[in-house]
Amino acid sequence: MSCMIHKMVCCFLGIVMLSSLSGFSQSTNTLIINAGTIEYEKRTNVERILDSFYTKGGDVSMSEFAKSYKQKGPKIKVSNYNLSFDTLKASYQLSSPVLTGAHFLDRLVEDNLVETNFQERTSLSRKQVFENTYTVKDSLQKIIWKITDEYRDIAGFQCRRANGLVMDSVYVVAFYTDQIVVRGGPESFWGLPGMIMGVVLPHEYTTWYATKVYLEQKNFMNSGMKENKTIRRSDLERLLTEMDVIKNAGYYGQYLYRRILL
Amino acid sequence: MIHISSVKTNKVVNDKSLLKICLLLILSILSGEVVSQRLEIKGRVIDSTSKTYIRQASVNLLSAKDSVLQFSQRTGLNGNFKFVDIPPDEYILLITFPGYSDYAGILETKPNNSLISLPDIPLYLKAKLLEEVIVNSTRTVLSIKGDTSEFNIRSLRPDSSASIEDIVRKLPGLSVGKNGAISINGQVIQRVLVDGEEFFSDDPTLVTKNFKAYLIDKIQVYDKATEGGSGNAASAAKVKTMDVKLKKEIVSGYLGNIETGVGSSDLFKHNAMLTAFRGKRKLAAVGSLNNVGEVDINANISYELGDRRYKLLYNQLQDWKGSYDEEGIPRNISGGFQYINKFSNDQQSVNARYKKGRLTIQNASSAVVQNNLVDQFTITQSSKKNEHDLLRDGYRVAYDLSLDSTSKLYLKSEGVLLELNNTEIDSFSTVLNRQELINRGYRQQQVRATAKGIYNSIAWDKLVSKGRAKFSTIVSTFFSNHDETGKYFFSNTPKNSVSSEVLDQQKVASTNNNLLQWKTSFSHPIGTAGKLAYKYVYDLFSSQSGMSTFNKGSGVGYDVLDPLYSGSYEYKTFTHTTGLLYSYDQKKFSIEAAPDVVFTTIKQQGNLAIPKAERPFVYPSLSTKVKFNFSRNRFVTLSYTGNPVMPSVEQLRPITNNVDPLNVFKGNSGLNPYFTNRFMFNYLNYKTSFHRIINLTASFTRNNKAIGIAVDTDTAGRNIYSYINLPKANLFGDINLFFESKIKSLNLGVGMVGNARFGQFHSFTNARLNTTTQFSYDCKFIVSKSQDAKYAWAIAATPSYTTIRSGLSNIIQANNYWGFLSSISGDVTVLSGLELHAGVEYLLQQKTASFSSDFSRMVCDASVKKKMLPKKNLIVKISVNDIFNQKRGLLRYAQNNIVAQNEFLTLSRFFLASCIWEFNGTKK
Repeated sequence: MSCMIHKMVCCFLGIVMLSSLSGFSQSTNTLIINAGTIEYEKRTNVERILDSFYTKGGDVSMSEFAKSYKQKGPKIKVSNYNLSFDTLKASYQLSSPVLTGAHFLDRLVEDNLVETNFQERTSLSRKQVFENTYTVKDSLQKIIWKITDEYRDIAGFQCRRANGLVMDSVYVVAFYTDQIVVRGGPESFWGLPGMIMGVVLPHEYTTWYATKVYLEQKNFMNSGMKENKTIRRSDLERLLTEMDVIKNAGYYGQYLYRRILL
Repeated sequence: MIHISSVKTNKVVNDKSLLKICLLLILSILSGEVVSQRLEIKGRVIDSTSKTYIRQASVNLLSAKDSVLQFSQRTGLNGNFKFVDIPPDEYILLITFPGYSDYAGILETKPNNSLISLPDIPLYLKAKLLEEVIVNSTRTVLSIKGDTSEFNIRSLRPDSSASIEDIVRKLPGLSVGKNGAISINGQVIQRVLVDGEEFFSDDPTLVTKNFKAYLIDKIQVYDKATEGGSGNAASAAKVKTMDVKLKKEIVSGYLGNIETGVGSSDLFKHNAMLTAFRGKRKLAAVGSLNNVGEVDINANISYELGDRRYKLLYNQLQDWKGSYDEEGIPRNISGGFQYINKFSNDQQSVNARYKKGRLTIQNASSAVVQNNLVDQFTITQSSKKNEHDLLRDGYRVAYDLSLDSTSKLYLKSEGVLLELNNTEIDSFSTVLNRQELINRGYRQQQVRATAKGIYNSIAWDKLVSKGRAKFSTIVSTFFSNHDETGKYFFSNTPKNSVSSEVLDQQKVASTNNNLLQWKTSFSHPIGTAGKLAYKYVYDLFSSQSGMSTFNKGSGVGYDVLDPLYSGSYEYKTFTHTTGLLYSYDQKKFSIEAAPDVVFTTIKQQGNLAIPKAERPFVYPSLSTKVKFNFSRNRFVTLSYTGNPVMPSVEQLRPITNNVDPLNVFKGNSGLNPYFTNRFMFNYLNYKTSFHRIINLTASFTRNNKAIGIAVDTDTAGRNIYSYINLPKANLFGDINLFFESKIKSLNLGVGMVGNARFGQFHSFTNARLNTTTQFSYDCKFIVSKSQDAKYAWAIAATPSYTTIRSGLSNIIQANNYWGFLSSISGDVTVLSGLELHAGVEYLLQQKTASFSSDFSRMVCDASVKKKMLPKKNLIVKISVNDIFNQKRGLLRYAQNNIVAQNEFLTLSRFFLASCIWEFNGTKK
């Protein structure tokens, strides 16, 4: 009896070891995208931004303003953008009108337009600063990216998380897919090994997420920005730092400065 | 941070190429003078199966130190890539392509070769990989940060049913032993924390067996200094601690399980566990009832309070240590709660625990004890039946409060209550020189004991001069009280006697211990890397104990006081310790040195024949540690500690204990403290690219004037033991080598744990110095292979050799023997959710001069497990333990002038059918 059980045990262990030798193969085809259009949804938590103006900036008058705003809403402002791209160029612009309500924020940065030239590594962007519009031409913004091992699905694409630092101090989280070859993204975010499908600015309470991806290019390069009337980013920086509203408005001013330049 | 766990791909085929890459890179490193020289790196990416080139794969160079993306490009038509003008550095080469598993490898480039041409790099289809090993990459699952080994569990992406224990088996350097005890590099982890907090930490398996790995972000393992050493890190006792960090994004959740099982011969096993957490609040409850040997593996630690510094004696007159190590048939019931929370922006935190349990052990054993005397020896054979019944109750509360941003208050209270009932019957006979019977008889004992202990402490930390310097002070108290009543019956027929001598007595003993400690320290930085601390510690310890022995009078009860074995004793020590701690910490080199001076006064008095005595002692004490970091994963540590050790009250107390009249113990009030010197060496080398860990530790201890035992044995085989400061030093040494690696082409794990131990200790036998020298060597070899959700097997073999030489008697030869332990275990999943397990363990101990037969046993066990329901969280399990009913308990040991073998009852063959329901849920 015990001999038989012993044999069974040995036999079993033998099977276990043999089973380690098996395995079979399979293959898949993957579509690599070189050109197309991505729709991004930008969401801004206005209430949190307003709160930050007085919690971080200590501006008491802002707390009154925030209180009155919260009664009217909306809490979250949503706007949509299109990014048309191919391997050489990309253009990013507003596709749906801005929801009113947080008008004081909208006017500054919502109407931004960015054209990126990947070959020359330059960008041409339209910046709305109160009543003035500036066209900035400069080399692509330097962003330090740390690649991580976290993944997330965005608009059906498997995206990898990267943590970045823009303008030496602004923390940004981005998700990119290597299935799209172009190294661009919404606004002036770029530089990952594929297309940036999602961006989170945790301290600015703002996110961009891709909602749809088309393989054709829509509204490509008809922004009408004039290359001859451009300034450089450093010019804009200087211009902003000299503005009273930015210089003297505490955290609100810093916020404007960052959001215009980003 | 990227963790190169994604190198799942490095199996079977591409290992050779990876090896080539590594060799090539190492060759290319050899020497470099021109720092500014730029590199060119080129290679090609291919599909692992079809061998076709992969176009437009993303090839990236990240800095190895921080995962920052430096260069990125796509492969061309021929799957080729080429980076030019690359500054020399350590890079991670990360290659990704949709549908394929990532490739990641370390590129250690240094300037001597301006062109690095890599061999073809194969990528594996994920669809294929899912069939293959998922968790085979131990590459950067482990990172070593200073003294901490950090395991990135998140990157392994464990499935929802895997427990921490399941995942730990796959981590480099970690292994799971019997009862679920986890070891790192061969050393057992004694304590498990959750998010840095105590969590039923006296039973580490509670967390590791029950917590699901998918909740875990990472696991850190380090040596945690016990609380008593906070001001003097170098000399503090250190405990191997595992800190389980939960994922931050999981805001709330719960997990738990209920298990119920019944088996043959009235065996049963019921367990339940529930943990719920929300934010920083955690609540847990556990309950267990079984008689299949599942007892808290650190059960005895519950009797140690104040961060394990103060032991609660529960059994003064006997030697049972309150733990279960497979000796006897146990029955265990235990339950407890734990509550952890943080309030008001983490300014206050609470950690409270309550635990209650009862452990009953029934045992029958037979022992052979060889006692080496001057030119002769005795052999005592005995057989014994006993029952231990231990009830324990304990709580622990810790409360921390931040008073402001620079100061913090810590309050702690712990208490334990123990109640012990012991009964024992044994018969014995002793033979002198294998010829002459010198005594035979029997004993009967019945003991009831109660022990209570309470530890309280209050500590205050204050940061001064902008947080650069720190002042801390702690006051702690420990009270314990012990009461014991025992009835002892003894009957013995000495040699050449027809009638027997009978002793029938009752003993009532009580001990009260009080301890007060005040410790204060101030530390401040010196320069950028140095730190200096001053400390002062005041200890006041007092102990009162008494024992009364009553003989049976003419009446029914025990009413005649026996003054020979009765008395009271008071003992006090006052200790002042002042010292410094200097530490200097640099990237490549760190040093710690802590010199102290210890002033102690021992005062004792009692109604016995000892004079009132007050004895002062002054000792220096030193601990130092030097560490050289050759690289991030390779370092050497050298350390030394030397400090005095006080004799224990039990050793000093001059009351004679004749519970066993053949083995009488007597304290020695004239004992002096002794001095212990300990040298330690540790070398660790962890090579990520080869999955290889080498850990070498060695230690040597010399106890000067150590306290040893002097035994006087008369011709009737009566032993009188007393304690004495030995004239020669006791020496101990050990060397431990841990090696673990992976043969990547076969996906085979190989490992080795080698130990060599040496001990030379002394004792007095009938006033003659007896030197016992013992060497033991063992080496465990392990080969294992596993594939997730498919199979796992492991083979281990441990040969060992022991020599024991007693330098007193020349009649007796040395006891030398071989031992061999081997085990094979296999697990396989045959159908979805049906798992089979089988294991064989074979043990052989060679006969010796003292023990005339070999001892061997083969223990087999097997189980079938079926996971049911869509979430696989209902498990039905049928298991057989010790199929051939071969298990016998055996322990051979040598101590002072004794060589002994003990055979005892242990759980042998049984069947168990059980049902486990696991439940868990999380909210992000």
